Amino acid sequence: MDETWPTARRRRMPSRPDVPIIVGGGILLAVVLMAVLAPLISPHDPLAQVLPDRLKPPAWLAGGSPNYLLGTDADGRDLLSQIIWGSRTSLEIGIFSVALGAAIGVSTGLLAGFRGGWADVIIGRLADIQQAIPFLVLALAVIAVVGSSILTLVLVLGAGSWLYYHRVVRGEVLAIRERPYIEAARAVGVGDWRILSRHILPNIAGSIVVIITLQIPQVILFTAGLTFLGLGVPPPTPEWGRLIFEGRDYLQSAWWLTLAPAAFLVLFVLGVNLLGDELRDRLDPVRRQRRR
Amino acid sequence: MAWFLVRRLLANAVVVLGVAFIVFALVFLASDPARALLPLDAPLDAVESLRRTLGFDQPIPIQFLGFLGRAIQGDFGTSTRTLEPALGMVLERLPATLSLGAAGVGVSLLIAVPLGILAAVRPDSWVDVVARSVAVVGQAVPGFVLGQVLILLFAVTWRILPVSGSGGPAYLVLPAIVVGMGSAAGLTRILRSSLLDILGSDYIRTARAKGLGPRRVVLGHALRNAAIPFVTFLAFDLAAIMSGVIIVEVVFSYPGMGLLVVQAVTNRDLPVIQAFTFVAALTIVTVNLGLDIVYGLLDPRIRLD
Repeated sequence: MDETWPTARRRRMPSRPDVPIIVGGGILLAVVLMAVLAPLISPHDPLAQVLPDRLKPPAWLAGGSPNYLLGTDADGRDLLSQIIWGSRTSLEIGIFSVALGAAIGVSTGLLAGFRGGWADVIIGRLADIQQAIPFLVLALAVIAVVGSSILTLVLVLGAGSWLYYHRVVRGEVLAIRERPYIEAARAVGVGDWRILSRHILPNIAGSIVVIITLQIPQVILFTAGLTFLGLGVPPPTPEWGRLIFEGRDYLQSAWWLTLAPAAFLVLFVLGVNLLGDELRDRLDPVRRQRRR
Repeated sequence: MAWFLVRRLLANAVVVLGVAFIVFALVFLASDPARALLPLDAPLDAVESLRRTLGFDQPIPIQFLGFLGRAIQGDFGTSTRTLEPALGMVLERLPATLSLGAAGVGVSLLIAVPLGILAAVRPDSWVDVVARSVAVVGQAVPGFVLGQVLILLFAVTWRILPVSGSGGPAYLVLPAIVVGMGSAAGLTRILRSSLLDILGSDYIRTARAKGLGPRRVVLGHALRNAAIPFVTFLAFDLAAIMSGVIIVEVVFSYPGMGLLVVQAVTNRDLPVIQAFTFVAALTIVTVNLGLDIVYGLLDPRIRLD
């Protein structure tokens, strides 16, 4: 801070290129394709152990072989194939749990925002209670009792992420509820259900899409974290978090086992976050003007 | 202010009661609650007698009251592993976890406050670009990956800091950095965007017009108002920070509650998990209450209404 005044300039919307959309969308698309086409593009069976080829470094390092582009793990399994199949597990969990969380949170948000009253109070208290328990703690507790499986993960992650949707949807419904066009619809005798589905939901769909986009990488990171603790996706299903976890013992001698899957995870999350942030900025007229 | 505190206390009491119910309800996810609370090799008559002592044959509301009564006396049962009182085991680890959490928040503030201010004062400058990159990358790199990389660099390659365990402050450095990086990203963004809004407002223009220097305007007038969304975000982030601490404790084998509970989950040691869940939630509620007070101090309107 020197003599010049700090200024918060209000800038016009610059005609900047769609870099975040292209980069973020490209990464998302690439990972989705990788997951869908896993059986076709995976160079090896991800679980096939070739013991003579254990701990091969990536192809570009001394001792690497073009047969194993990213090297092999301690059991002689091809790392690239495991990463490719791992994207499938991660995406599956991400998509299903986000769908579940969105379904719950959007419903409670509509109910609380539109009806208000007791429903709003009770759901609000439930949200406060859940807010007080760290999500990881709740997930650990449930997994301790019922054991870990992909289904458990989807249910736990879905039930854990409804809060975000609930808060945003409730807030937006509260704001829209009093608009003249809703009043007009009511005046001509349109029922609650129709007002919700035809007049309110389409108006908040954008926000929901944004939260979904931002939640998918969150959920995948979270699953990876749980798997890293040994409590997520049960072995031997390949999953990014477990690959990172299993590479831990070889951090010094075979760093690629940890860093290669970690790079995929980070790049994916980075890309989707970029896309989500950009979508949010574009959908929000205030932010659009300010262009943070 | 007194009224404000009483109201907050009441709201928090409801939350604690709800948490207690969830902790209580956990055992019902198991097909046989009495079995779930005992070691796997417990004899049948032990299971039967526990079933009677804990009243699993009673109606649920009665059972919950019994659970609450025991919880108030600090009785969450005994660990199925070590047969020690579960709450004692958790509380013994609490100071280690709290100091890691506090050090983490400290690191996070140390990064977020200067970076957020500089970025808002000079939007689109290189500081701003750095701040935004830190935010974007910080949100994408999970703690367990960052932890591994730091271990590889500082503890294995350069050997300047201990790899894992606990001891002096040196053992706290790497874990605290990992915990702090996790929340620094969000805090930097929040501070930057709320400061940007405030710097464009009328009273800031007034402050400038009457001849205050930039330092006074930003640090004295703007920062105080930007502190409110900042504290809100921090309160909202507490649970996430606690989650981060658990993972970091495992990465660095740091002997806190998180490491204990992850071991408990692996052993299906339910009483320890219940005690931990309760303690973790209570910690968050307490810190939140502290932040509520900070809130009231920052904004007189809040304590008046």
